[in-house]
Amino acid sequence: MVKIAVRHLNAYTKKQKILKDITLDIYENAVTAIIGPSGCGKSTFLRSLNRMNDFFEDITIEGEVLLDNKNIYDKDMNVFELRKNVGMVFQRPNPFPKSIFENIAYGLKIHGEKDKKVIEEKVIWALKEANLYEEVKDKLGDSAFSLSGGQQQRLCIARAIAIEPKVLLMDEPASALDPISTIQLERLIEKLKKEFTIVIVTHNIQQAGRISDYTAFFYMGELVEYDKTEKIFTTPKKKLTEDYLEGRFG
Amino acid sequence: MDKTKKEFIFFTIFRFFAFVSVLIVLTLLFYIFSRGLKVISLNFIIDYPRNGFTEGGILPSIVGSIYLLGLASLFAVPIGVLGGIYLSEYTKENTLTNAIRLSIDTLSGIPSIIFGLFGLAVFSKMLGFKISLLSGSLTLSILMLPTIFSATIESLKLVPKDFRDASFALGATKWQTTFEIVLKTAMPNIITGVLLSIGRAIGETAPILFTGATFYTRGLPTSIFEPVMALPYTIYGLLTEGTFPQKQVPIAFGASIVLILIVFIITLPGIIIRNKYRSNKKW
Repeated sequence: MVKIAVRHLNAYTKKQKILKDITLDIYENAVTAIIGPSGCGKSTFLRSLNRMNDFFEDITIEGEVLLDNKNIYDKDMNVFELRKNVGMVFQRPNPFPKSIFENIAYGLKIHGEKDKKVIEEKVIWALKEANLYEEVKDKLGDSAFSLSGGQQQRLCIARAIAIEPKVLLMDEPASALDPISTIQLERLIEKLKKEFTIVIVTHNIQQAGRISDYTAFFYMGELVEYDKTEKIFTTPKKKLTEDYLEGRFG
Repeated sequence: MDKTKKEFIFFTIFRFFAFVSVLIVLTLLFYIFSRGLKVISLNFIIDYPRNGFTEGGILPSIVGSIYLLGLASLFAVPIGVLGGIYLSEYTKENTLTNAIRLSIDTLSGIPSIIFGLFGLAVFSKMLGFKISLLSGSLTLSILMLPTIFSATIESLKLVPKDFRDASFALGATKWQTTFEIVLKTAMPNIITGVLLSIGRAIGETAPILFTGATFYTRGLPTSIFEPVMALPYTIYGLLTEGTFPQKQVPIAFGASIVLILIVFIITLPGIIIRNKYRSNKKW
């Protein structure tokens, strides 16, 4: 089932076009990987799905992004509600300077949850869901900065899923992590797709191949090819895709 | 010249200058303490001056200084902190906000006697508050304002963009992000800035010279429209206008010790807070 339908999405600044007429469907409970060389517009595309580009005043967005058939760029769209439904995990782990518990409780609190018992239950649920609970259960009151980089990133995932979004956007979530943390993160992504629709931007082609169901290849702001991952990786239709996957440029 | 030798020479030079700066402070403290320590006693702090300020204590000056600073903080801290938050978080950089920033930086470089004259003209004369606790603390608050303002803006700027992004991505509003994340993160630095500005203001004589301070009062102030005694002005008065220096100069030095200790007590929590947060926050 289509969760997000992107229709003729354009993004540009006064100086250049960042995204050129992107149209694609993102499927529910699947992992969609966005790959492409640096500067191809991957991150801008990802940030256009939860309107985080709103903070860049020089970027203009045109076209439609339909989340459950509702255009998120409509005037009556509540952007805070949108971001509650479309969570995001960033490139560098960015926990708040709060305790492990408070990091996750924050999202629940800002969306109006006051019941301490409910908050506690959901924090623990999110930590378990993010495969982090066993490692931190005895030190929930400790600063989030006492965790390792990989643990911090899983904490950020727990924080994002605690408010039960429908979609989870990940912007190169493993690029700052060591190999073991990366493997843990990939396992986690595979588990999470049962409950969430995941869109992940990655520099790492092998990673896209390992974890994604669909792959979109972006180049110079254009969507070159989009298909099931196995098809893209075995029988790409475009020469450009093939060259990129074989590492001839990047 | 080989590298180790070069390193040795430079380190020696650095060490020398570090030593000199510490030495100057220690000499200063030794000088003041050696001359004033003999008058320090519990009575000195809790008693009124007697016999034309040749005996007794300096209680009214201590209380006056605390009143002045308390009231000045009451005016300056909310305006400085809230104004800083507004300018840093809610405005974009443009000609107007840059002009505001520039004027604040300029204000903090203006000699304090100018603030004194301003206070005299505006609070004492124009608004008719005369020489009073109110005029004095309003003048001091204007002196403190730029420091608090800049400290707030600088502290907010130090909060990484990552924290704001994370908060917005969770669906937080600007208000929630500013107050729950940005302000809480910046708070230790803001508090430190506020305490430092109070520590600086308590030692100022010039701003209260024509606006709030008087050399002698009977008893403690009972209203904000009365003039007050204040430590720096007491020291100044005893040294320049005293009629009985043999007894009054040691009292001036004793008052200096008390002033130094008060500044220390005010700035200490700032230092502790800063160190505490520095040690457990790494970003």
